[in-house]
Amino acid sequence: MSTPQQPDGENLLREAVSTTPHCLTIEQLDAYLRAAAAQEQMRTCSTHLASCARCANELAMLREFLGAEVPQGQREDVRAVARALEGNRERLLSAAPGRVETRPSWWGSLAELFTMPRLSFAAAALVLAVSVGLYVRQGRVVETPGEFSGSGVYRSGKVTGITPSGDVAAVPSVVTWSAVPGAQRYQVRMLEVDGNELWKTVVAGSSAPLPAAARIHIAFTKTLLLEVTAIDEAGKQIAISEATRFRLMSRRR
Amino acid sequence: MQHLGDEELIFRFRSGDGPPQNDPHLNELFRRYSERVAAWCWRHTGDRELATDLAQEIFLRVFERLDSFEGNSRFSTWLYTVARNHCLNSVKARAVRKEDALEPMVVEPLDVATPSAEQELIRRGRVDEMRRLMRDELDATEQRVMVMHYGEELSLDAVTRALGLENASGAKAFIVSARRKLQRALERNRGARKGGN
Repeated sequence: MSTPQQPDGENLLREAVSTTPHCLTIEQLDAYLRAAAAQEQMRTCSTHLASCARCANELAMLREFLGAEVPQGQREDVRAVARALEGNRERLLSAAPGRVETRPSWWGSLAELFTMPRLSFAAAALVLAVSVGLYVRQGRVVETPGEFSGSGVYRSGKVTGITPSGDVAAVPSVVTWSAVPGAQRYQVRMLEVDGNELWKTVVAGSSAPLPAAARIHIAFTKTLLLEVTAIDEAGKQIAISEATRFRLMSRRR
Repeated sequence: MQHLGDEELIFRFRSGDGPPQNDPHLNELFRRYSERVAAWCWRHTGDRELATDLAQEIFLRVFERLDSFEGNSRFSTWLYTVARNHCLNSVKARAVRKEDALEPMVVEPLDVATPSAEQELIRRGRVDEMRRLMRDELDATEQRVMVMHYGEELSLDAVTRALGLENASGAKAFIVSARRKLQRALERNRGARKGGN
C-alpha cells in the first residue's frame, strides 16, 4: 500500500492563494471598482472579496493602475520613463494594425523569384531555401524555457489528457489533465502559437482554474496553446505535455 | 477629443485613414495612458531603463493587437491585464532565486489509513480553512504580500518594490508575521477540533 502524500505547509499556502472558479473576472472587478454593476452583483462581488485574498489583491492592483497616483519620491523617475516613451511615440503608434507596411509573405518572395534574371537564380534559390527554413522554424511552436528547466531536468513521461482542447463553444474556466505519478505540483502555461507566454500558474492538483487574467486572452477564433509540466518534490520536471491547441468558436464570453 | 471615451477613440481610429502615428485619436489614447504605464513599470522594476523597455513592449503589444479589441471590456482593463502580466512575467524571469529561511509551516499529518478519496476531501477542507484564516487573521498588507509571493511567485524583493513597502526588511517581515499568525490559528483550530471530539 502506498503511503499517502503528507500535506505540506508551503503547498497549502500556494493553493490557498490560487484562483478558484468563483474568482471574479477583471471586468467584474472593474465594474465593482466603479460601482457600475447591478446592486445584486455588487453584493456578490463584495461577499467574494471578503473571503478571497487573491481577488482583493487583484482589485487593489487594478485600483493602483487606474489611479496612477505616483508617490512623491518616484515622480522624477516616472517622468523620465514617460519622457522616454514619448520619444518613441511615433514608432509605438505605427505598430497599430492595418496601416503599417507589411513584410512580404514568402509566397510574395517566391513570385519575385521568377521575375529575377536567370543568373541570379542559384543565389536566390539558396536565399529562398534559408528563408523557408526560417519561416517554418518561426511558425512552429517555440518551446520557451519554463521556470523549472535547466540542470537536473528529467523528462521521463508526458502529461496527457489536457482539456480544453480543439474547438470550444465557451470560454473555459478550468484546465484539467491526467495526474502523473510522483508529481508534487504542476506548472500550467497558456501560450500564443508563437510561444509567447500569456499566463502561468503552479498548482498541486490535476486542474487549474483559469483566472480573469488568463481568460481575457481567449479571443474568438484565436488559437492558443496549453502546456502542463509535472514537477516532483525535488523540483525536477518529470513530465511535460505536448502543446495542446484550443480555439474559442463562439463569441459568448 | 478629451470628452471621448477610450473605446470611442479606438472606434474613430479604426474608421479613419492615414498613418496611425498621425491619428489624433490614437495619440490621445497614448497620452492618456503613457504616464500610468510608466508608473506601473517603474513600480515593478525600480529601474528607469528597464521600466522604459517594459512600457514600450506593453504599448507595442497593445497597439499591435488593437484590431482584436472587441470592446467587451473597457480599454483600460485590457491595458491593465497586458501591463500586469507583462511586468509580473518579466520581474519573475529576471529574479535571482534565493530561498529565504523561514520557519516551516507545520500542518496536521494525514492518517495513513485514511482512504485516498477522503484524503482529497480533507486536503480541500484545509485549503478552504487556510483561505478563511488569511482573510480573518491577516491585515491587508500581509494578505497582499502572501498573494504576490505565493500566488504570483514574485520574489520578496519584487513584492517589496511592487507594494512600495518602506520598512527595513520589506516583504519578508510581513511574510514572517503572516505565517506566524496562520500557524497559531491552525493550532487553535486543531485544538478546538480535538476538544470537540
